Amino acid sequence: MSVPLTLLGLLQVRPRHGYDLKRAYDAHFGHDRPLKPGQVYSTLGRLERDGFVVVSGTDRDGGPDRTTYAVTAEGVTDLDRWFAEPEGPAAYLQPVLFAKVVLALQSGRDAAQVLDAQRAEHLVAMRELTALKKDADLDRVLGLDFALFHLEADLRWLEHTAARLDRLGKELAR
Amino acid sequence: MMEPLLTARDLHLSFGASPALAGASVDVAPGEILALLGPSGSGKSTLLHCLAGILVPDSGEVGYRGIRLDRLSDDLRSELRRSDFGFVFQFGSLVPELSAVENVALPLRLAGHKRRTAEARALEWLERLEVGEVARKRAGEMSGGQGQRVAVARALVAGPRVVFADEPTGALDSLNGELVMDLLVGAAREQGTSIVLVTHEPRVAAYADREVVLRDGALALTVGA
Amino acid sequence: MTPWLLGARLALTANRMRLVATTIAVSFTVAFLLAAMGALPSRQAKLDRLDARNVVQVDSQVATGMTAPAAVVRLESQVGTYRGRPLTVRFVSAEPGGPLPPGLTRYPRAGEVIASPDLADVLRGHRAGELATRVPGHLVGTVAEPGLAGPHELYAYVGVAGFDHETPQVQSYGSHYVRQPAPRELRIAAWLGALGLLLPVLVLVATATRLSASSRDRRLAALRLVGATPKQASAIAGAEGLVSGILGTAGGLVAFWLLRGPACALLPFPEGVYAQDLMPPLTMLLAVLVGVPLLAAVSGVLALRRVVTSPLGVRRTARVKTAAWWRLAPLLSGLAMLIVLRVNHTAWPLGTPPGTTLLLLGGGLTLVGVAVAAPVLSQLGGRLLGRLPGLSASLAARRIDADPTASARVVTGMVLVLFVSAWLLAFLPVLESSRDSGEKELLSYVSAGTVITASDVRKRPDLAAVQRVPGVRAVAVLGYAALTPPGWVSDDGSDPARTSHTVDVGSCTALARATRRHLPCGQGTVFRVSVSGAPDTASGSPLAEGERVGVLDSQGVVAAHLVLPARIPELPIPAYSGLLQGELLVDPALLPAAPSRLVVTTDGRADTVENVRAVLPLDLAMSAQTVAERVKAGASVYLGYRRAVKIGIVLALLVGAASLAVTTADAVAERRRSLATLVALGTPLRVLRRTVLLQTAAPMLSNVVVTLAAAAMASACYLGVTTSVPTGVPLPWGSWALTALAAVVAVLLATAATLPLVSAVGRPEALRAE
Repeated sequence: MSVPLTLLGLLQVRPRHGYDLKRAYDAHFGHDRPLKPGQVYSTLGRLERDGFVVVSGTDRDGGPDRTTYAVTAEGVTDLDRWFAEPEGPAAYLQPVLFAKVVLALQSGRDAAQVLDAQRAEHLVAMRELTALKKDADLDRVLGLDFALFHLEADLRWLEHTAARLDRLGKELAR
Repeated sequence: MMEPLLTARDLHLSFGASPALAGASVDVAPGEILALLGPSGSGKSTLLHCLAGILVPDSGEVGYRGIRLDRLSDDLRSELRRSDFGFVFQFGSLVPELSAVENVALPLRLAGHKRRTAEARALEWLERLEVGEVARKRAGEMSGGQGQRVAVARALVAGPRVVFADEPTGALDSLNGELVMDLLVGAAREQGTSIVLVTHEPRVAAYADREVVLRDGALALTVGA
Repeated sequence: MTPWLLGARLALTANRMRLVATTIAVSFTVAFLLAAMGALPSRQAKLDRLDARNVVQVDSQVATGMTAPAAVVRLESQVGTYRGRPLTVRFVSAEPGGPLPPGLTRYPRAGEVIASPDLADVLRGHRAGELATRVPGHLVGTVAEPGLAGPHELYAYVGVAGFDHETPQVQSYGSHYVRQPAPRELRIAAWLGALGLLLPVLVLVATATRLSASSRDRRLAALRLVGATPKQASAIAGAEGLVSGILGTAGGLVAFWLLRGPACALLPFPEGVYAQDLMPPLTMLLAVLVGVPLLAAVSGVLALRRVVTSPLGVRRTARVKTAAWWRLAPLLSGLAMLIVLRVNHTAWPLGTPPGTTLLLLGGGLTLVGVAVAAPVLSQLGGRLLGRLPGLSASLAARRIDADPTASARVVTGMVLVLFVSAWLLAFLPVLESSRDSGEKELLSYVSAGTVITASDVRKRPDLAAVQRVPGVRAVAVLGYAALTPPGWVSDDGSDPARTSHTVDVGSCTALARATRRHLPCGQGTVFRVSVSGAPDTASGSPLAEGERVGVLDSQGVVAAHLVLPARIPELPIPAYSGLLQGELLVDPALLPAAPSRLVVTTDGRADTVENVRAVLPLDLAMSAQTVAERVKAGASVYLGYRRAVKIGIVLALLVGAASLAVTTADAVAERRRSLATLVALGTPLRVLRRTVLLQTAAPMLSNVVVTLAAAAMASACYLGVTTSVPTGVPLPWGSWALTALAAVVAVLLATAATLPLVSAVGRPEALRAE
């Protein structure tokens, strides 16, 4: 799960300050592991250092100072690359894939294309693993099967998500 | 890519008011294994039936080795199906009154072979697909996996150029499904037979050289060479 | 909701096509049953109509004690033939106010004619001239329906100026003839025929309610699975049958009403049958209206008993059902009983308990046995078929082998029809009386178109006019004379009419021309008519060569004498030919006699015959009949029975074929997935069609062969026991072969009618749905 890219993606939807960003992240992706406040600021600092975000303003609203961050053109390019490239078919992909789908929908990108790209990646991986199974020993076959079943599970999730993109978009827009 | 064996161009076909195919196009190369994926009702089976000359599209072209299948008469398409194509379906592939060996011999007998030679060759194929022991049994007397392997034997026995498989593992557990696919793909590769495979299981689709995903009667995604 | 209501709703909504098909099949059955049941009453209705117009004569036995009506009505009926159809003319002279027959509102006055509609059509048409002498006068009205036996009867009342007192006077109309009951063989045959007709009808009802068995099985099994008790499931199945039964019965009633008219034309009566006469008796009507729906309900329950007993009633496994050989037992034991009876029938004649028991039990067992044995025979047919080369033969053979009982069910109806038909056909010759064969004898002496008039001539015919009719080839005139034996003395007190001998008077050469035979005319003037074809039987006649015999005049007085020539050659025309009636044929030069009969050889055309009748005086015109018409009239009763049997067989074959078509179509539809697979594999439709044909034809053939053999044995035994004909009645192999052929053709046509279904059903859509 790539926290920096996810935060970057959230910032592309609209500029936010650190606390707002944490709340948005936790609402969509942090059900099990909410972000620590320190992690938000350290990540923002790194993103700012790399030139992906800039401080777009400060406001004081009766409380402490709030620094609002926005995505730079460089940051958008980095995000585009992230959306376009499917994830390598590894284990535990679901959180990052989900983040990508939500952010793609929120940032007005083609979420279906994101899913399709990922699907293609998975199918190619499955095909390669299936090809390896031919002439392999049983212990190797069982290992390959394990990977195949997991990839298949991911694929099924991708299919289900693809079939429900419209509804997800509507719920996020609320 | 080689000259395609089978081509479909912009196929449209409706059953009553509901469109099953809406502009589907696909090629199948000689020896290629192509998987058609997609949700239920996406037109996978209909596309397969069109490619196999079982259905004729309302519009669009279906070509097989330079012949326009959609323009052939019913009889000529039947003839082509028995000389050049093989079929495996999810259910009811086997004629229930016939024994396994008679089922496998069916394409050969349709091609005009003598009963004895046809059944001898059918028996070889049953052995090859490891179901020689059910040769004399009828469809109702064997397990689903055995039945599908018999169906695979029948699809391949006449040396077709293309085998059309519609959810061949749909009614089987994963292990039996894998066995059927291994045997089907293994034998097809050996003979250079193309396979057009309709499935909703990614693990089955993974046997293919290329997967195409259908959505609403048209191709949404192509994966592979 | 009660199971009955649920069943009724399912029947109406679940499968419309099935409901329609079932309703049509049951309707057909009911219409057929009603028509069959109405056929016998229609005969009675016709007899009642004849009785109603019978004349009760004044002073007759029936009229004893009645006072004769004041208005005198004298009536004389003449029966003749017009263009092969019976023609009845009632000449009547009536004073006003006399008793009227049914169908008349007034009597025709002299010179007037009141005729039946068909006869009126003739009288108004361009052929009216042909009837000028027989129905003289101008048409003033038509006889209404109550006065006619049938709608096409040729019947007329002709007014005449006045009859003498010898003509019978009418007391009233409507007397009952005591009619001879139908022969026993016929009554038995009628019962057998009714049974034979009923069986395929019942099979059809049962078949119709079993349509789409597998989808029904699945539905019922699903209901059982969710907890319906066997009783509830039966009720649902029964209600489904009942609904289609009720709908079908209603449809059948309507169809019967609409088709009654055309059906009447099929009944074996030349004068036709009034539609309203074709009406089953009320009790039978009620039995059909209640029985058919009940039968449908019961067959619905029986068809589903497999499902009713187990929720998993629908099994996917194709069980191999081999027909057991015990199925041949009833057939063989039935035949054995009949053979035992045949061998011992002198010891156990019919009517004794052992005789009757053996006959009924043996006959019944044979009939049932044919149906019970059908699966074994079908299996046999299937196995023989399997030996043939060709894919269709193998496919069909395997289908039969997979379920011989099912393929037997397809042909059972037809097989039963065939068995009963064969039995009935074996009976027919028994009904042919010896008189009928005598009429046929005539045909070997003169051509069918030869017109022969009866005796009793009141007016001399104009022979020259007859000769002039185009198409007439020869005319021979015959007269009678009565001769007394030699030595007879008029005053010895004996009655001359008793002792006299009738001889025919006519020219031998004219007779030779009329019969177109070579006769020994040059050898004499008097010829002996052989009695039986054997010359020595005539040797006892007192009218011997050289004898002097007396000639009686019309008052019975010996008016002259005649010496018979020394040589009387034999004439090769026997007396039983019907042409000659006396012992001798005497040349008119020796013995002048008034001409009483004409033998007119014609070309046989109806126009010629009618023109001959038209130039003859009334009596001769009415009595004039061609030989063909005589033969037909003589055999009319037998021909009527035969026609009835034939119609029965044809209808039964139709019902059987309908039942077969329904079953076959259903079987094709039930196998849609298997068919679709075969089509996808590229099996040509013609192979599939041939398979369907062979699948029916093979069991049909094996069953037909055995059924005919069984019917032949059963008929031979049965005829040997029941008929008194010592020489035995020949078995009608020709008719049997024809009937079997008709049955096979009907089966193949019925099967062929389902063939379009094969291509309609074998669609790839069927590959998808389980």
